[in-house]
Amino acid sequence: MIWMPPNLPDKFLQWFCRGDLVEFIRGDLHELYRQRRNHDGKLRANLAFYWDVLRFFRLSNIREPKNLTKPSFMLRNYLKVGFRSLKKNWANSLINISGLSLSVGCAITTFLFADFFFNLNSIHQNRENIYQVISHIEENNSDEMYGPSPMIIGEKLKEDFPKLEESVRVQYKRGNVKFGKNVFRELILFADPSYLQMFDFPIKAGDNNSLGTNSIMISADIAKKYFGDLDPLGKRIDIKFGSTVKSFEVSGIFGKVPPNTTFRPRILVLLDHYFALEKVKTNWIDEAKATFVSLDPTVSPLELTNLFEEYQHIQNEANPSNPVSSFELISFTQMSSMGGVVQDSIVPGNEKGGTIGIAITGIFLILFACLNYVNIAIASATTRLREIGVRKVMGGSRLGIAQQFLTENFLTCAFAMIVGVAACYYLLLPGFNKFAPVDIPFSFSSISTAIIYFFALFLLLGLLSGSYPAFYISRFQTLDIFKGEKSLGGRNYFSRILLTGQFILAFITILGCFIFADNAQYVKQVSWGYDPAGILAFPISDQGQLEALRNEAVKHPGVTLTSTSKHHLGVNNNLVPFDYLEYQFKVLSYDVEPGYLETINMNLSEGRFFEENAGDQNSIVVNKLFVKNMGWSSPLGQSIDFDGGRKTVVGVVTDVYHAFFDDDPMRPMIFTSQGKEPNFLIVKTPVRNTVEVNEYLESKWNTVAPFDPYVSVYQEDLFDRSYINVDANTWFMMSLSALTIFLSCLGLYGLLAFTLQNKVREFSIRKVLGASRLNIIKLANREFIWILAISLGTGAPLGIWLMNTFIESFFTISKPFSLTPVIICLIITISTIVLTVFAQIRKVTRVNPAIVLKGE
Amino acid sequence: MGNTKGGNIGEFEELVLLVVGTLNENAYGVSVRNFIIEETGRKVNISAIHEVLKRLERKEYIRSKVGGATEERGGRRKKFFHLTADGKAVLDHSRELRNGLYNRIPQVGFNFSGL
Repeated sequence: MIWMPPNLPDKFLQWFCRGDLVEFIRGDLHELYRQRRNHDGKLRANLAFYWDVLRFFRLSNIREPKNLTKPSFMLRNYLKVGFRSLKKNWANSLINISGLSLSVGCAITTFLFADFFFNLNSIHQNRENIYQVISHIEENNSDEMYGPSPMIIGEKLKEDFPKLEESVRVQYKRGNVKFGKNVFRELILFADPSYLQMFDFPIKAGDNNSLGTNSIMISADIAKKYFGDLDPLGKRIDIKFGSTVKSFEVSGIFGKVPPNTTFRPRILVLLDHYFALEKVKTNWIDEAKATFVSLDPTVSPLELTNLFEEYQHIQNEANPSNPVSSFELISFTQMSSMGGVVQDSIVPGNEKGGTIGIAITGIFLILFACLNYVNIAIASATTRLREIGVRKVMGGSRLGIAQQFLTENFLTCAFAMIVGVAACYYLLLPGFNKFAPVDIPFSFSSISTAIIYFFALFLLLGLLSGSYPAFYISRFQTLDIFKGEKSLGGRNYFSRILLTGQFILAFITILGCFIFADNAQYVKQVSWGYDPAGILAFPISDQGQLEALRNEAVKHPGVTLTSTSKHHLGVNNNLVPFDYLEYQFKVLSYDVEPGYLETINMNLSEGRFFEENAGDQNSIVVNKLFVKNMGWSSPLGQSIDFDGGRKTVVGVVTDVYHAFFDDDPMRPMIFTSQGKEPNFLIVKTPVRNTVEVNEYLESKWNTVAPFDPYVSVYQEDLFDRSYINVDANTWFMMSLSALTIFLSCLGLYGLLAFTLQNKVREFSIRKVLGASRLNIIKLANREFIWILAISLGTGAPLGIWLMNTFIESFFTISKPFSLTPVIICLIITISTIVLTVFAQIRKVTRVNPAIVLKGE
Repeated sequence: MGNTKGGNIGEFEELVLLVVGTLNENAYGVSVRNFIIEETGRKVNISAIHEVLKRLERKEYIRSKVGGATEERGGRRKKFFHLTADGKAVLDHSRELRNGLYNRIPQVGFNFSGL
């Protein structure tokens, strides 16, 4: 009996072993195997055989690679042929390159985004060793992290822990900053002097010791804003905090910081001023907005745990009303990736999860694009079967052919990379920045990152999209090619499932996008309930200034009405609890001068507005929603207890929107006229005069209040920021759906090309036998109709449902569901698909059967 | 002599060379392996034998000829090795060296009986 050794290692041996040795080695091994088989049994013989083959797998026994063509010579040939075939199939190449480059662009954009957020605040060299003292506070049985910490904790740490190098406290306060005629309200940063040594902010003028008792350091932006072309150094700036005015001398100017710096000083003075202004002390009760400490690099922050426990007890005794449950040190680097986790943090950051999510999206886009490309690449190779055949006959090896197609593929990828970078720079990144909270620059955290990233992307793209087609194509047998028996692929289930998935995604996004856009348009056009055009509002709390400005305003012929109020509709809403008998809800309350309601164009529905000298101290005007909430059928004359007294309803106004993205954009309202000290001046003008009146009042402001900034609000612009937000979102969703529909149509194009290529002969024969054009179109489309039907059937309802849920949480004013956007979207999508399909089908229906069949 | 450095071959090489000489006309991979295992009880892998045979052939201590296909080898031929003059010289040289040195070991070391 002749035993045969296991097949796998034997094949392996044959594959790797040198030709001049293989016979003797195999012979010896087989002989040994039979010996062992007879003595030790099957299992041990098999195992020994595996082991022996492995032992023979050494350099001296491995044969040299077969392919000995000179790479440089062939590379030139491959590149030339590659260029020619790109040119010849320019339509295919264009589609391929645009699909790939779009996803390359997206991948670069997402990478820039991730790179940016993973390297926030990289300007500070010592950021790994700088920590913020975080307070943990128990709130509603959950542990919350807070940025502020007791004023004294930094100093105590420095005393009790010698390896702590430096501690810095910071605080913020708003003040009116004045230089000459320039007055603006600014956020002032107060800090300990070592702030400048701990953080590495670039300093353009002065140095990190420039901050003296009465000096101030400003950023380049602030310097430009106040001083223009003047040299700010040595100039004096006045800052008004409440009623106190302090004077500072500019002693230093900060240089430009990179955009990934989320924590940057604009106007910096010493913390001592804050102590004086707020009457706070260095103790356990008063809080610093943040305390930073720098530790010796060899020290772990955990070494402070015991000390913190001690401090927690001291703090709880000193401040029993706000007890801290523990303190913790969190590194500055980590703070930058904890956006939203730490309350009241002064280091804005992004959450890691979101960043990683974006990066993964980028990878998926690349995957989709590559898989689509694979289909197209294989289909287009069928036009080059003869070339492959000839190459093989002339001695081209399989590896050579694979190399050729890979080279061509890398050529396409190189084009795609170039176009992709351009697309990212000119299109995607600016678009992305439009809706992102920051402006991400087109730059990498370091040169090496950029080089590694681009190289890796190129390699990934080339291999992912090219290796399968290259090895698939190179496998064709020469004889089959020339006999014309080569047909491509099997049923392609994987491609089909992938395509269905892509179309479902496309239908979801495009439908969602259209519903969103439709709603956004609707929201912008919806009436606010009053006419905001021509109304100017001035927030002024100083009564003298308010009167003075009013006197200036009435002098202008363009002003038709003026009024004052405590709180102002839309700009300064005052939400208070309403509690009367069994009625408990929240109302918006405004205390207004008689004439205010007319000034802001409120529409009266019943009764009257407030009147001068009518004794309206105890009268109120309410809106319809309030009436509805109270369940009154005849509201006039009803009385309620509100704001410390009995009030009688004298008028009802129609409902208005007071906010855009509030939980409730329409709320019950109560207008009183109790003569409270107003904080708003309201001026009404005809629309054509509004800008002129605003400019006129600005010019007069200097004489009214030289120490305070001029602030005016166009009532009409109230929701502009929300509109911009909505527009940005619409824009983003539009581009996302354009991207998905583009990529999925590309996939459809590829699969269609692939399948039709296989069926050309079948169609030709059908044609010869009398099939009509319609018949052939039907046949060619049969399976794709199914893919589309399935994805439409699942994607469309899913998209509508998802978007309606989203809209309810996003827009408080939502448009009733209508079919119009759905229909528009379907028309657009289906016509895109039909166009894609038509381009392919046309080729098949127009083909001359004689030419196809003659090929045999 | 092809390699005047002569006797400088490893212990295992020398063993294989001796075995090839011993087996005379019947020395090929498997027979060398089996012989070594039987005579010395050492565990040797066939690939190590092949490696050494290759090396010795390169140094021209042995020469090979092809033949002897059998059914149990699946009809594959064997590569038979035989000693060359150089190979014989190397063995002689190393034997002389060994004997010479052995004879010069002082007797003193073996006189334990006096104790």
